[in-house]
Amino acid sequence: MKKDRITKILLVLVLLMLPVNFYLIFQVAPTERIMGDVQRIFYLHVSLAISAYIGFGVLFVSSIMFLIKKNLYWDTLAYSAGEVGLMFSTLVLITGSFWARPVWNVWWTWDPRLVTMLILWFIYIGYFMLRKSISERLKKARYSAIIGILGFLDVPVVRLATKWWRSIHPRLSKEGGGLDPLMIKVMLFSLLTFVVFTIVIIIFRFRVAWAEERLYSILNEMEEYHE
Amino acid sequence: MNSMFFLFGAYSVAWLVVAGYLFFNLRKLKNVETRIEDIEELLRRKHQ
Repeated sequence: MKKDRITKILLVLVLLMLPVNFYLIFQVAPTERIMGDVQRIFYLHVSLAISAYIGFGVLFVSSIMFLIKKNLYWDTLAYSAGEVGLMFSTLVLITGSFWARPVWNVWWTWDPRLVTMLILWFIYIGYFMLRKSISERLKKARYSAIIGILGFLDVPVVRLATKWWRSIHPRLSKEGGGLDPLMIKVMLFSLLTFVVFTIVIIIFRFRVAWAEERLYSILNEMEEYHE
Repeated sequence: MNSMFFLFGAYSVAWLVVAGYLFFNLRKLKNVETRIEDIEELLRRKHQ
């Protein structure tokens, strides 16, 4: 019951934060001098990337917990969060292309940040393909937990790609990377909004997945009873 | 194509995908709940 209340509070919070976030991005944030209005994709693009990392981070921790506890609750949480992470990382690639086309004049370029992000996306596509290919429930959970843990190793590589290799991708530093102070404030609010939003979506997806798990276990029990 | 096309394209695609994902899961949840209710009803009838 306490969990329900927290979820409801988070949902209300996110419903209040999203319109404010839109207002800040389109009305308050200053227009960038060189790129113009298209630079406003930045607030969405970076927030989506952080949301994807949160999803994959929860998958990583839950996979470890599954291997320790051998409880399907953790596996359910792992793939729920992984699915949310995969959706957000797909959107990172799409919004990145929408930003790259007017700025770099190409939809895609083989830049280290983009390539490592694409590899990350393929790793988690592989994670879900593996899950589809194994029918035995515990085996599926065990193997995908291993992929979930190993796959997460690419996340720091994506983050550090612009530091390690020569890249044309903009880099955010602690000092703000030359951004206007107001842009940084809008960015931080956008990040906070998406963090809360991602938590709400993961909780919601987990509930759906957990209800499905319960249904399958009831159906299995009924089948065994009839046999 | 002007920069507004790319700006609104990015935001529209992102929010459409998120809304679609939430709608798809909401429908999934409704289906599961209906099936659980059906099973409960079946068991209730069996016990009567």
